[in-house]
Order: sequence, then structure tokens, then C-alpha cells
Amino acid sequence: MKEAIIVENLAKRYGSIEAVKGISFTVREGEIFGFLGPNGAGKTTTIHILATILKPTSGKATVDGYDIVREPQKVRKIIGIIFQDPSLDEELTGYENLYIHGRLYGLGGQSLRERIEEALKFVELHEYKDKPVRKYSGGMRRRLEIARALIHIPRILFLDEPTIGLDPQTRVHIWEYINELNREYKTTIFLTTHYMDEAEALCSKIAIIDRGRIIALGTVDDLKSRVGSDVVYVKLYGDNNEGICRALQLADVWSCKHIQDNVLALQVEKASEAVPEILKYLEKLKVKVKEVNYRRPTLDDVFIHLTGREIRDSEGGFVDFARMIHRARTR
Amino acid sequence: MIEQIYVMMYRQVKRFMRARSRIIGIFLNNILWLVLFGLGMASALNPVSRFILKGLDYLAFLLPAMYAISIFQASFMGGISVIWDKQFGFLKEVLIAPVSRSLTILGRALGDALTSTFNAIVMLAIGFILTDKLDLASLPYIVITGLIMGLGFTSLGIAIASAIKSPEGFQLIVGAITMPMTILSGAMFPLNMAPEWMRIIALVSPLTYAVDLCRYHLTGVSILRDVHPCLTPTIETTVLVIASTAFVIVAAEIFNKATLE
Repeated sequence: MKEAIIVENLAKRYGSIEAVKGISFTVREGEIFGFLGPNGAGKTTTIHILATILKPTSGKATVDGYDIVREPQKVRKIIGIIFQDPSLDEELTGYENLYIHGRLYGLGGQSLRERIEEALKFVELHEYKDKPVRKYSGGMRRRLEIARALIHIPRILFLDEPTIGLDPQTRVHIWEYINELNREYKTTIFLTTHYMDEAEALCSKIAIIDRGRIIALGTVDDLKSRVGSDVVYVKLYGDNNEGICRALQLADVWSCKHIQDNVLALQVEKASEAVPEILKYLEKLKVKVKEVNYRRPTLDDVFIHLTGREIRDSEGGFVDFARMIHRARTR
Repeated sequence: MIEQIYVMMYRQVKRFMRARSRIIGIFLNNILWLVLFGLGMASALNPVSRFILKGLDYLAFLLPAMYAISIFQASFMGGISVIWDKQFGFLKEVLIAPVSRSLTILGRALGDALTSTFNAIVMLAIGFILTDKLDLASLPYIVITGLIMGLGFTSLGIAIASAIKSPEGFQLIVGAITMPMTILSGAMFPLNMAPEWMRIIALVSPLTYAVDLCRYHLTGVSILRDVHPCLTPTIETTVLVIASTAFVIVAAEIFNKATLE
């Protein structure tokens, strides 16, 4: 597979503040790549640089083979972007917003009209197309922005916090659109988020970013296995299991705790691999197993493991609040 | 190329048609000025107006100037409204588009020039009812002059809006530019009778030429030429074209460099 985005040592400085401190990563074609991190980590700055509306202070990046500094027009033509804050014309209707977008991207005539209809149907806004955007709800605006980004069929779609400030139902809905978009149109997707569940629901690969640096990169499973310990719960028939715990240490188990009369909590490196081993051992010991389940660590556990802080309470408090007020004003 | 100019014009015109309350507001404002200020001044000045206004009565003196002033204010405000696009986010949509920014800004300026000229023509139509001194045949000249100045002043507004960061500076700019330019333009009083220092400052502002030019086309009287015989209508038009072109270029330059920082 080809690389859709290649970033090497990218840095951005605002005066004395270094928002992005030399990050490198690649995004493969067809991938949903997520930038996960707290507010103020440098996610939006990165997305703006890749989308050519900010110039990097140093470093290099190519999007679909085009250099973002030397060939911004070529980059702009093949990407779509959905900004964190709304960027619609409130006075115009949904249809007109899409129409202007299409014309700006060189489309026109019958084919543009068809694209608009298709995009509006995709996000289920067709019946509201002639209403001014100022009458749309927050979720409807987001959907319209998704539709708009699809008009010119971008090869790579950037989404900056796609579901921030939306209610849980709408969020799931937006996730479905993003997934479908990736499946149906084979669009490469680069998104930023500070929601763990969002990163898990969407991303095939995740970079965890904190204070302008990438501190971890990999698939969701990769990242979780870094925390090291999945916890396997084994429920047995019978009570006297102290001895069993000791015996199990032999089988990929780091530590075993006897937490209830007949339940063992086993810390293992990777539960998916450890469970068959554990079962084999228990069978050898002629112990009957009633139930096995395991809990995987969450991405939040990963972030805590790497930084000692939780994503949600890092820095962003005031920014989030200010954003909320801004949103309340503009939406 | 035409495409990119067209699409922004389309947007500005659509927005204009959508904002009915604003159209009515501007319209009412103009009418009130004409009726209250115009008729009020006219009744005071008309006994002497034939001597000081080169044979015009005050309404015939004021109306063509109001036409120019109305275009100036509407298009300047239109340009400044880039700042609201910044605030409400639409600017990002334009900045990210794979099109020449100079052309989008030109399209935008043309759109605003078109709508503000249209507005002013409607106002002028009412003026034709109030006085019979205006020359209807000059309408094409008036429209062209209106579009040229509209283009220039929208661009000036865009340049200023791109340079200032927040809408808070907005009122200041409006107060510091719109008001003095309006008064100095010689729209409300004859500049030939103003103190010399004021006349000199007035000559720096392109609006002064626009006002004089509109007055010349509609009534045949040029006040400026009375003071400076060299300022023929051709020269005045040239000055206006040069000023507008300069504003367009400056606006395009500034807008080209715009980022989201």
C-alpha cells in the first residue's frame, strides 16, 4: 500500500511557544488514522499545517506525494477538511453552501447538481436543503460539513474533532458516516480527537500526542498491549484454588490473584494469546473451568501509563470552556 | 478564472437578497436622510442656494452625492464584513479552496459593488420623484461610476478587515474612516466654500472625486472644477479608476498572505 501522508520532523512555533515539536509519522492509503491527545497537544496545529493553511516552522510533509509548502494548490485540490469550529455560511441554505463549495473546486452543471443531491442524501439532510443553515442544529451542521467535504470526492479527508460538542446519539451517527465514507469511497481519513471511544470506534492506527510530541504510535491493540497487562478472570468449580494460582505462574502469567472464592484474576501480557495457554495448563491440572473473560486496558490506561495524567484533565479546562461559549454563541 | 470570480459574486448577491432587514434598514436610513436632512437643509438654503450651489437647489445638490455616499458606505461595510466571515468560520472554507485568492477576493468585491450600486439606484429613483433637476440620461455613467467606486471601497474594507484581528476594532475603523470621508467628500456642503486645509485633505480621498463625478453626471455641475479647473470629469474618472485598482491590488496582496494564525 502507498503512503498517503508522510510527515518528517514537523515543527510549529508561535513566538516562544512551540506547539508542535518535531513529529514524524506516515498514514497509509485507505487508513483511518487518529491523532489522540488532550486539548492543546498540537493536534489542530498539525491538521492545519497538513491542510496548507498554516506554514510549518520547520520539517517536511507530503500529502498524496505533494509537498505542503511548495505545492499547496495541488494539496488543496485532493483533500477535504472539516474544521473543529463551524465554517458554513449561515445565511445561505444547505444546498447553496454545497453549491459554492463545488464551484470553488471547479465542478459545475448537471454533475455538480447530482453530486450535491447524493451528498445530501448520504448525510440525510436532503429534506432540509433549502433551509438557511442558521436554522440547523449542531448535529445537522456537522453533517452538512461532511456532505460539503465530499462534494469534490477528496482522496484524503481531514477531520478536526469531528464530534466535539455533539450529543451521544449524533456522535455514533457521525462515526457511521465516517466509517462508510472510508469503506465506500476508499477515502483516507486523518482525524484528531480527545475522545478515547472515538479513537477506538474509528481508527485503524493511532498516534497519541501530548505537548507537541508523539508519545506512542500503533494500532489500538498495539497501544494497549504496551500497558502490558490484560486482566483475565477465570471462574472455577470448587473453592480450594490457592495452589492453582502458583502453578499458573508457569504459563505466560505475570501475577495471579485470588479475588473471590472461585475467581482468579490473572495479569498477562496479551490476553488473546495467554488464554489458550492458561486453559491448557488448567486442563493438565484437571481443574474444571466454569467461565473465562478478560478486560482489555482502555486507551485512557495507555495515556496514563505514558504520561501519568488522564487525557480528560490535561490542560484543556479553560480552553474547553471558552470553546463551549464560542460554540453556544455561533451555533 | 471567470468561474472563481462568479462563485463569490453569487455568494455576495445571495446573501444580500437573503438579508431583507438589512436592505430595508439601509433604504430607510437613506430615505430619512433625504427627507429630514435634505428637505430641512433645502428649506433653509434654497433662498441662497442658487448663488452658493452654482445654480442648483439643495436637493439636486445633495441627491447625486447621497448616491455616491450610499455606495461608499454599503461597499465599505461589505468589505469589512470579511471580519464576520472570520468570526463565523466561512473564511476558512475560502482559504482552503484550491483557487486563486486574488480572484475570490475580486469576485467578492464585484458582488458587493453590484449590490451596493443596486441599492443606491433604488434610492436615486425616489430622488427623481423629489426633484426634476436630475438628468435621467446619465444613468449608464452613474452605474459605471458606482461599480468602479464600489469595487474600490469594498477592497479597501477587505484590506482593513484582513489586517485587523477582532470585530472590536470594527467600530473604531468605521468611525475613523467612514464619517470623516463622508463629510469631507463635499456631499453635504459645497467644498469650494470650505476652508483651504479642508479642501486639501478632501482631495486626498477618492470619495471626493466620486461625489463630484456623480453630481456632474446627474446635474452638469462640478464643484471641484470650480476650485481646480484641471479636474475635468475625465481626470476625475481616471483618479477614481486608479484609486480603485490600487485598493483591489492591495486587498488581494493582503488576502493572499492571510493564514489562520
